[in-house]
Amino acid sequence: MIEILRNPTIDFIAKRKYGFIFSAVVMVISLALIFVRGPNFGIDFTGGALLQIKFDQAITTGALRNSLSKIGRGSAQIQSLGVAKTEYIVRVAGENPEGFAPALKTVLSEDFPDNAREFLREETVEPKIGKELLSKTIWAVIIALVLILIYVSFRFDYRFGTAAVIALFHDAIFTLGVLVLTQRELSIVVVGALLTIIGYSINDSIVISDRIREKYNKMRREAYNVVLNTGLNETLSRTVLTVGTTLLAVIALLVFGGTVIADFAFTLLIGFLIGTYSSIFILAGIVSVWEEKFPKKKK
Amino acid sequence: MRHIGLRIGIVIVAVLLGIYAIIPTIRLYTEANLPEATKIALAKRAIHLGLDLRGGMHLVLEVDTAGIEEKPDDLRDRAFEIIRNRVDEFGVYEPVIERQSGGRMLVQLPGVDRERAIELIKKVAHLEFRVAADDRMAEVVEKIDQYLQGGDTLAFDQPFSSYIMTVERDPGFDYRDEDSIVAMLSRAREVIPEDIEFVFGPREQSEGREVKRLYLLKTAAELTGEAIRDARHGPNQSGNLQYAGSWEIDLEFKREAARRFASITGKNVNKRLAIVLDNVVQSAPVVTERIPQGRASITGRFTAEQARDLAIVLKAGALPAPLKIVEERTVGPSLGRDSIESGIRAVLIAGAVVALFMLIYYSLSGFVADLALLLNLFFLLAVLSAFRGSLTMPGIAGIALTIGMAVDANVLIFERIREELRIGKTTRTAIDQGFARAWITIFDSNVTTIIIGVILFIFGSGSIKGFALTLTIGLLSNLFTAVFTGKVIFNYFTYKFDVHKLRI
Repeated sequence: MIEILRNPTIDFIAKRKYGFIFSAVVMVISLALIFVRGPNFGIDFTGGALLQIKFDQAITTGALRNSLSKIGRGSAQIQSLGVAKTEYIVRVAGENPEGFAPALKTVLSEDFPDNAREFLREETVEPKIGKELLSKTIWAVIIALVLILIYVSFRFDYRFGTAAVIALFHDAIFTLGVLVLTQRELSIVVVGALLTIIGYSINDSIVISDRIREKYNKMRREAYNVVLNTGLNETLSRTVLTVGTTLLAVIALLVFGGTVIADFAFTLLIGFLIGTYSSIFILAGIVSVWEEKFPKKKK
Repeated sequence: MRHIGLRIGIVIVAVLLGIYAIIPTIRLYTEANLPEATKIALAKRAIHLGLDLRGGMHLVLEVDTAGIEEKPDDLRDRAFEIIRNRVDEFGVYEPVIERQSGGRMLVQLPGVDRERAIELIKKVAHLEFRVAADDRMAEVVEKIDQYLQGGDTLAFDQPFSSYIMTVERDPGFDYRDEDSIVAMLSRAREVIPEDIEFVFGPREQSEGREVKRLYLLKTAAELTGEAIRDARHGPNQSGNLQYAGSWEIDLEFKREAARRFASITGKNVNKRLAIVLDNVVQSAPVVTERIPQGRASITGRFTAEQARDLAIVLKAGALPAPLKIVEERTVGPSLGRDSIESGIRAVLIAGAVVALFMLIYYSLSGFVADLALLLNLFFLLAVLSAFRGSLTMPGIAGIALTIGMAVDANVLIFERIREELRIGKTTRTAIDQGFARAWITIFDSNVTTIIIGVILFIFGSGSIKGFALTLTIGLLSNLFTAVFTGKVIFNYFTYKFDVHKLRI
């Protein structure tokens, strides 16, 4: 029998203050990033146009920018894919996206007549549609949160429920902060990934608090923090294994899944790591602090 | 060992149903040279590839109702019917044309030439037959020159007539001067009689220059596109060397219109009759005699493809109002192919790595987990087939994610069984208790992710629905494969081989 962790006895609760400090710092930075710098909203939400172009021969970002300037789109976002310098994604945001693709095609055939190119992907979204999608997405997120809150409130004891919800917001804000920091595009697919992370975070919280509740009923004589630690340690190998296998799948997506899915896989990767960390340090940490301030366990 | 026979039976029946559901998909995507009819029949019971995987275009169109008196709803209905006819005639495999909320329409065309399809859909195709007023050309041009010379019109430094040159016996102008010409005509509006107007030809090459022809036509149309009963494309037969090797569109008029056409041509012998499409003169042949057969043809420098598409739009009729593309997502065929390849590779690698890990970590029991995982993927695809679900790139990501998360159930169960064994329970008791205790947790933890999946499916747009679909189906089938089937396999083998020491 192979075991990665044989009866671990890590005192997570004693280390909770490091977790709190770390998370508090990260929350401040993330919120600052989100509200000051702002997410890099994709054309799904802002409206705009996107072209993915593959050239026969390598071409520099500067040359591409030069052509874009000629059609008055010098401020377009240019993203190079891969190391060969042959494949690019060009994005412009805002009004009247319909004319962008034809103008770019014309200027490219004038500027690079000998460099054959293929347009792998062309997307155009009117700002009006983007706004509708944004409000629809906000509704979807709100409804998802409400349903999860309802589920959590009848499924958990209110302490675990509150802590799980705090952990959930922690994970979402943390992940969004990383996305803003790395300037990844916030597209509709990435929002889908954020919601998946929320589901996963709750999932982890459930497994851990189920076990803590079970231990609580069996270990009536032990201190509350000992119960918490036992629950965390007993589920630790499961946590490590599940996160491990899920991350293996996500890394396979990130490495082999191609450009279309890369942002999605990246978001999941970051979110799952944060979700695992938070269900141990934040969820259990909050519950232990709560118990110390307002004990409910009978001595 | 309760009901082991019954439980094995349930698993076998489920697998058989799955095989039945998945066969059309396997046949559709693996058998080459299927007859068209079989293909269509199979497609109705098979997994559908999303546009992001097969390549194609997704368009959301809006009818621009501004400035048109007709009720917007009626306009949209007519536009919808016309677009549907055009797309049907275009002949792509499995097109989607749907009305959406807010009066929009959705058009999805797999694997088409983007520019061509947009031209076909957006073309208003307003066709008119108008008599030319060539005899009044000189007089009107002179009037414009005089008008623009006098008074406050010094903005134009050259007279109108100086822009006009000859393009193969027709008047015309350098296309770079178009803006000046349009400005002059608009300024001199009041000296141009109301019953006639200038209309341009298409941009063309003539003696090394880019030019447009200039026509003076009667304002009133003699006949419009509504007169057309049928339109076909064919090789040019006009005998006009200029169009040799090009294609033409042959029109057949409705009966009443045919009579009118005969009378129009009879009255205008030796005059030119211009065929104007969306305010551009396609051709203006001289009427040599009365044409009683009710046929006409549009000649020009059309390729076979252009002539075919034009015939389609003319037959389907003109759009009552222009269309605006409010959303477009087009994926070229090579990116679609790349996405399928990289998607499948990612799923296979994720599956192989996870399966190998389980086998190493849990030894023989890991094999049961792998079997459950394989069954899960199988049921996922079978359910998608049965409901004709569509598989998108995010959908493939959902499958990969399902592989990672499905193992969670097995990990929960196996860790429990290990614990039970550690405290000295017998193999059989440990298995039973391990499954029983893990079940509540597994059920709970899947529920939240399924909630998210359902919401994404309802509110999500386009390709994200594919993710929600595969993730939700995957997690649901996981409850059956990992928990129910997993336990059946354990029970069966420990019973059959009388296992006393479980390798887990």
